[in-house]
Amino acid sequence: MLILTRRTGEAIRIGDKIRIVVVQAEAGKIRIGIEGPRELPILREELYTLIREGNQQANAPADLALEHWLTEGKKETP
Amino acid sequence: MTIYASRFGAVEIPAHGLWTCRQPLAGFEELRDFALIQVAGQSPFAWLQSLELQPIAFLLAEPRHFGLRYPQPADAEVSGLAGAACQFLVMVTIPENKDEPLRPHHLGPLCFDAGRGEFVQWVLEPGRVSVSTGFRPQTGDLGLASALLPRLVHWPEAGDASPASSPSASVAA
Repeated sequence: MLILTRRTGEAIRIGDKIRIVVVQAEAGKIRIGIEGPRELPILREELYTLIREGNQQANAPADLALEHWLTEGKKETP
Repeated sequence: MTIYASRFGAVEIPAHGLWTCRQPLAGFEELRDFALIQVAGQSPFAWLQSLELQPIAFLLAEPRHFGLRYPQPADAEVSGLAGAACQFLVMVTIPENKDEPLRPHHLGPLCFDAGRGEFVQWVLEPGRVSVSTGFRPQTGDLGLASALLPRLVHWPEAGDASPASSPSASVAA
């Protein structure tokens, strides 16, 4: 991992399209601003993890699981 | 092209049945090419079948069947697709315990742009989307938005007795 030291107002460039600026730093918390292409997905890591886990859970349910749910589960839907 | 999916067997995917994932799906970054397959008797569900890794298939349904409504995204939020053209489908998890409800992946709906044959997963902060009210099937053409129907692969093709009896498929007229 590359580790850099930056002060408030200073920035980091990633390639020629992404700029990350330290907006505020205090009390163990930093605010950063990110400039980049509007179409570039930028997510908090915990949200990315939540989405990835949801995707993995939705992938490839067991064969016949849906058929079983359609025959048994629907009966139990009020 | 013909794929050999473990869930379906051999399925013929015509060119207009192909979908491209515009931005990688989290956890499945290597996958780009998919088909939307609806299996006879499984409405209102459909499968998003990977054409590159054939064990991978996601179960999808329209958000309305779970009481979910999404605002129209800005184009940039859906990676440059037209937000106004979005037809949303959500991934669905089937719980191992049959006493638990089906779970929609409500924070990551898939925006399908039928005109371009592309889709992308829109990621929303938890506060931007309502909570599912549970699975309540709504009426509608095959349970899917009509804009998606021309690009939907049906399996087995009309006239076959059951999915197990035929490995072939066709796209809706």
